[in-house]
Amino acid sequence: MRITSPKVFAPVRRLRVFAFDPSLALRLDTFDMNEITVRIPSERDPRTGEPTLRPGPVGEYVEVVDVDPASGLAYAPVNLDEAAILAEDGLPPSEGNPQFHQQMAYAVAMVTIGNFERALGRVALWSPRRSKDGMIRQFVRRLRIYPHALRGRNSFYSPEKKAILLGYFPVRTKDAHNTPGTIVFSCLSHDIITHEVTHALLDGIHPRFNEATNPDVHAFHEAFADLVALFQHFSYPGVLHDQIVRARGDLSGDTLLAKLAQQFGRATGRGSALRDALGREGSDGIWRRTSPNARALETVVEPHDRGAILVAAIFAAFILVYQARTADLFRIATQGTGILPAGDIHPDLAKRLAEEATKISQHVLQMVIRALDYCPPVDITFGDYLKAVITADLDLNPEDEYGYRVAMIQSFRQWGIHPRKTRSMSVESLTWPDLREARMQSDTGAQGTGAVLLSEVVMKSSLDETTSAVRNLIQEEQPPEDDDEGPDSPEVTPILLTALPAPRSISRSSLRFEPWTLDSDRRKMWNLSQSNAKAMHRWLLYGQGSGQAANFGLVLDKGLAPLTVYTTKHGKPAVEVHAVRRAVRRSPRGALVADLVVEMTQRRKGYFSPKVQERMDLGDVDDADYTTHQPDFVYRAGCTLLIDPVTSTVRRVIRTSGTIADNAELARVREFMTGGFSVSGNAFDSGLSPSRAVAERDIREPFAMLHRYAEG
Amino acid sequence: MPLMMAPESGVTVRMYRPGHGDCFLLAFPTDTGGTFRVLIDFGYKPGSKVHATVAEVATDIVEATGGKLDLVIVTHEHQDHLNGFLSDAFDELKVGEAWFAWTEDPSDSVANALRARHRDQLIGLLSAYEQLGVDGGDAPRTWLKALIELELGDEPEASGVSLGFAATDPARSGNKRAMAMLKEKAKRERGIRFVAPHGDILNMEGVSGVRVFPLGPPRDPDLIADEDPVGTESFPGQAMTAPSKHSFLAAVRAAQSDGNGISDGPFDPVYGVPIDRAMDHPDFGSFFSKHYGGGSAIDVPDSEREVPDDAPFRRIPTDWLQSAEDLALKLNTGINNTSLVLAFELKASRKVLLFVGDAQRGNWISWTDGEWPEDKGAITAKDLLARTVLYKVGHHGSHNATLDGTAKSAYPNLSWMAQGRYRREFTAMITAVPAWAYKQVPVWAHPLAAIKTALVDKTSGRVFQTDTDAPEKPESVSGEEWSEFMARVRCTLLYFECDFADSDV
Repeated sequence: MRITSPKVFAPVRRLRVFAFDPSLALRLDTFDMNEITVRIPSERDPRTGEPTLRPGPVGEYVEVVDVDPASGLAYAPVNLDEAAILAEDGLPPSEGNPQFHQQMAYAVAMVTIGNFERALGRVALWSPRRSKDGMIRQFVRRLRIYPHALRGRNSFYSPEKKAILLGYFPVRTKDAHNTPGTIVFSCLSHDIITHEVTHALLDGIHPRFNEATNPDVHAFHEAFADLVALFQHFSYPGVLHDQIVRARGDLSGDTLLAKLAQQFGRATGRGSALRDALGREGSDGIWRRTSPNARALETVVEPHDRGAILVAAIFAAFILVYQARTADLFRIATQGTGILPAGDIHPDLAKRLAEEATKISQHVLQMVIRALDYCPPVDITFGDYLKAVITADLDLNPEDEYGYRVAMIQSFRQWGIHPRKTRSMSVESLTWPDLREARMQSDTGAQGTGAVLLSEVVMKSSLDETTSAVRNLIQEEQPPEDDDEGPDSPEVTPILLTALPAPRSISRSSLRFEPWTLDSDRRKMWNLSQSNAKAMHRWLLYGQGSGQAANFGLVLDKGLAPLTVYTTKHGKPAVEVHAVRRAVRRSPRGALVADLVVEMTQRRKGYFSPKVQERMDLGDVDDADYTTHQPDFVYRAGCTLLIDPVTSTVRRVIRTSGTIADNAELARVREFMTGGFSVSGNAFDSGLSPSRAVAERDIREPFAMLHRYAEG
Repeated sequence: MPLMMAPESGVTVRMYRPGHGDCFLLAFPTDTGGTFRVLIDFGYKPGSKVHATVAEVATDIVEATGGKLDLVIVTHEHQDHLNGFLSDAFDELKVGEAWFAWTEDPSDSVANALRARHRDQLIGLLSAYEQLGVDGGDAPRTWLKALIELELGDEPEASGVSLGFAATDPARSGNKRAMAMLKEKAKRERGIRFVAPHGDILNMEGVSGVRVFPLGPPRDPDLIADEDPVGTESFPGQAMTAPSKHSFLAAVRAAQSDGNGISDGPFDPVYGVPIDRAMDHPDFGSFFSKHYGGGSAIDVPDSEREVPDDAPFRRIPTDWLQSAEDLALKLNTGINNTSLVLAFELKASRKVLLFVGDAQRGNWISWTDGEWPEDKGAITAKDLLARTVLYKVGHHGSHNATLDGTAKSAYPNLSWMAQGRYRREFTAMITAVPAWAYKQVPVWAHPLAAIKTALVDKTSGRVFQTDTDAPEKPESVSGEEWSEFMARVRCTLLYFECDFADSDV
């Protein structure tokens, strides 16, 4: 693990965990690779060497609290700094000792967090707790993990409790891989822990990312969590080695790796969709990879099944790169014939192949996570995600020496995944626009005719204007004068989470971005991110940023916004600045790339009845009706910006498909919400439902049912 | 209200509009020129009223039938198909005969096992519901309540069904009382019939022009349980496995019986201490006090900048009980799949009226499991569906109660219905009040828009829906065609009526 924050991430702690869940450990073919030792930060004070990790384990990021309410019991917390435990790389893997369970949950969570920090170039922060009115956000230092929270084959991340609840359940006779009467623990599955921690990390990055507005949203969350689990698993040195040795003769990587991926899938207990997307055994007993189906997305809407398509697409890209990068090894090993001699393959070859696979896994894992900063703030689609993966990789690594991007595009195309409005699948058309391109798109869009372009001179001066406005945001000392608010209106409407006090009551310094320091305490980082979000909000609504809103796909002009758009107290269309994050990433060639990532959205009341919508949009109702009529849903639109803080340029503008005033987009969301989207398998399925049995799950525990139902 | 009279030929189908629930009164001409009246289900979800109250509907049924129903059919034992029968107006009502699915048959051992399992699980759910009530917060309890209500027929707190941990008795539920009342009434006349799928073709006494083909529910318990392939603990299904002391229901029962909430844990006892004593434990009491907290339920004040370690909102005392909802859903599905599915055939024109109750996927796919041999070749489910002119849409139009597919698909689906000339008359009836259903938490997508669209398309607009005062003419349909249809239709605030003549379209 790379050291990212010297304060916390000092020396390394080694801890043993199950590589697969214990039920697989009992099978001969996986027995000898079942234990791995992970390396995580030791959590010691770097100056004094005093441990900062307390029994639980309770560290800087994670706290394991082992209560089992179904059994009415609490289990003693493990102390990983106890000498005997420390000397042995932690407790030995054991199903019967809850303290090992605590150790494993902690260790795997920390590995996952480390991978996110490395890919995103900043410390991980959990989603804050919001007060009921949404006005106040409270810092949540640690993600809580309850290893034995539930009795049942379900585990989930609770955004409400900022906690992961893991379950356990007795095995029944019908399960072919387990002995009846024994108990299966979710907290002993590397992949389940990783999957849930990934949900938690995602919630910390994108607060509204899980609002289902199209069939891809829930599917993306599941797929993304599975991808992180899968590639993290593959990236442990040695995990693949044994299997590569064992599967000699099947070394094309084509089936071997996919088959392995399936085994991981089964270990999560929710792998049936994943299994089928990767491959299956035919009637002749021979296992084959599922060949890509470019039309699969048209009919599959159940989130896990749909998500499996995204996993399969990225997995296929991984295999393409693996094949390209190991072709030379095969030529060397076979004197160019491509045919391996009988018997075991040479140990050096196995070692080299495993190294390549591990290296590629690490790279793909980083690509997959890094793309999170390049997603629109709401309404994610698989196509958007493809653009995010490509753009993020391009920005960091312009060369693409090993063909990762080409492989991704090829594979996505084969699975029929493409952005909504993109006609070609070139790297160029799969890159999010910079400011200039964004300007041109919004101009042509506004004109409706296409080819009316600004003259180069006008364009340049317009871009300069933006740059100067951004520089103002980052550097200017003076608060912008604001005639919108008088002394009698000290506050912006509380509808906005990011509402600010009036200009006169806030200090000057809070009107611009605070400088970031990499060495900061996480709470300080969080505070900074909060105050920067406020500064951004202020700049956008009342400062120089207001002239830039149209470029970002925001509607701030009262005249252009339907009356259903939420407004500030002063009647201005409101904007929520979700986050201002700093990212510092190191490219493979060693260059440091710094970004400010800003997410902003607007919201609008949506109604299931188009007639009601129209009336509400126009305000064709009496006042009482207008204020009391609750919306049936909320439509959101907005953008993510990547700003280069050094040059004050807006590098990427990532907008949702429509603005908040876009009636067609609102209608599309409505159609999806009311289940008009499509048909799947032999059931009419809205795709809205995280589970097959319920139309829409509650908002508080969106993942609870999603996971409960997806049992293989 | 006058008596409801049968048409000269065919049938008049009256769809009552009590709210989100089923109630159909059918009038067939008898061989002697009289009227044979059949009531299929009578219930609604409380709170879903459109215009008429359930009492008004009940009164109207009594008047329209002259106080006697020749036949009552209950498709399955759910509140929204049953609670109307408990109306006061029905006290004196006579029932000539009652038909139920084989799953109600007390002499059928499979049926008895299913019902016993259902009862056990329901008691477990009621217990989980009560425990959630202690400090589980409102939302989870509300979801569970809605599901339990379907099974009981009334609120869990009502009329002595559930009087605390000891007195839980589903036998006293509204559903059971309604079923018992109907059986008792029918026994005084011609009696009760338990209908098995693909068995004898049924006849209505004195109505020789109509035959009734039973298509479901399936005999296979796995199909009844099947809604989609789901994991463990599903009701009913699967060979009996020995109950594990580490199962969810075991924990629910333990909490109920000894009151201290301790059941068999998954580990050796040396590792655990009771949660309520954990805070005082000499070695790690301070850990649990600091990180879990036991005392006050006062939540974190907004003035705090950081969430403290022992914040009450992060505790999980009842989260595990929410798995009950999962069980409850499976239970609901299991009961939906016990729906009696009947195809009424008008002999002369061979038109079919298809009443499917709330049958979901497992029930649907079993319809092809048998057939009825005839001289001219067997009558099959595919054949019956192809001749369907009226489809009572399954389960309020929910996503899994009308299967989609093509005419070539191997399983019954919407595309099998109404082939050839039968398409010209094809009509659908949806018993749903979406304004109410979409307000439920979680949302009940009744009807699912995709299904509604498919039905409107397939029927050329001939769709009745409880909350919509009259079918709406699609622009693509000619005025002539529409007025032909509307000539057979009567719409009131109380019901819709539609005639189907037993002659070619």
